[in-house]
Amino acid sequence: MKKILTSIILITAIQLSTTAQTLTGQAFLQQTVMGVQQGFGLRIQNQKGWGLGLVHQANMKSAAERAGEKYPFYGIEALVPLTKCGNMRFLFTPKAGLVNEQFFIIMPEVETEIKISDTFSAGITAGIRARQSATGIKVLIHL
Amino acid sequence: MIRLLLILLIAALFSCEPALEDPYENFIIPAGKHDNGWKMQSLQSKTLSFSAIFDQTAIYETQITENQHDINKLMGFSDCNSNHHENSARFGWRWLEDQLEIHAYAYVNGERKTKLIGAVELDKAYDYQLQLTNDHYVFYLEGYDPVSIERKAPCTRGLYYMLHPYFGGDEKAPHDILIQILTKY
Repeated sequence: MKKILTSIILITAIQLSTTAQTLTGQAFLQQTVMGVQQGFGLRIQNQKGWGLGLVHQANMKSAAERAGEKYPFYGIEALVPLTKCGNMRFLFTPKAGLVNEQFFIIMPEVETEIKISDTFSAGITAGIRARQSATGIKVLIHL
Repeated sequence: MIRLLLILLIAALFSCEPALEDPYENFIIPAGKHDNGWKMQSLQSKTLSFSAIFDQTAIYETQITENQHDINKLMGFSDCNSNHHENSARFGWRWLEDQLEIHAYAYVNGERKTKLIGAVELDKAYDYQLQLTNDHYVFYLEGYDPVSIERKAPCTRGLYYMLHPYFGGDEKAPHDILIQILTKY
């Protein structure tokens, strides 16, 4: 698993370094098995869609069963382009990082990015968190 | 058109009603197997909390009499970046003397440690909680006093992979065994 993750990050970094890059900020909401999480991040991406990013997300309110548990996640994401169709781009966006500053997790995710204007895009995500589906929406601002 | 599509997708995402189906996940250990396959999942907080229901399929008789004392596993996790035979904590269970016993079951630096917590009724949901403190694994079973086993934490940050139902011990499941589990977050 460690090797797969390292390979994805390395390939992405190599792809990223070969062409011009853009910086993109993102804010998102994700429905997970722990509850609705809000998050934000910063990603660097080339024109083909390859990229790397930093992500933070946490529950908007404490999980129902446990007071105070917000499952904060800090991690990195890799952006691997899958296909493009008009204004839409499909990406594989696995995330890896620490939850509660202690527990390492990997979240496989796919993202559909819809270009609204040169500055703004919207995104829809589908992923897996704790063996359950996690769906989300996001706003991307190309800086 | 794109905007309309976006609005519809956003509406669909947040208009979901609570699922009507049984929230419990069925773990079936097939006859002749130890488990029903490896499931990739990792612990995400210092407390693993779940409810579990055993039914009549938890009653079994081993081929070799002394294996009846072997402890099967319910649920738990490996400790920080460790293989579960080095450092881990799980709830264990066995059918012995006409009752379903629940045990605290852990490996600490490769040494196996077990303690009896209590017995549960069949077809009844019980709450289980396994807490990770700096120096102990603390096992809570609804209706019983907590039991703790000393922990030697191999690290402070890392992968704590989850461990799911497993039959054995030495022998494999004599018939299909159903365990219903609801993980709580």
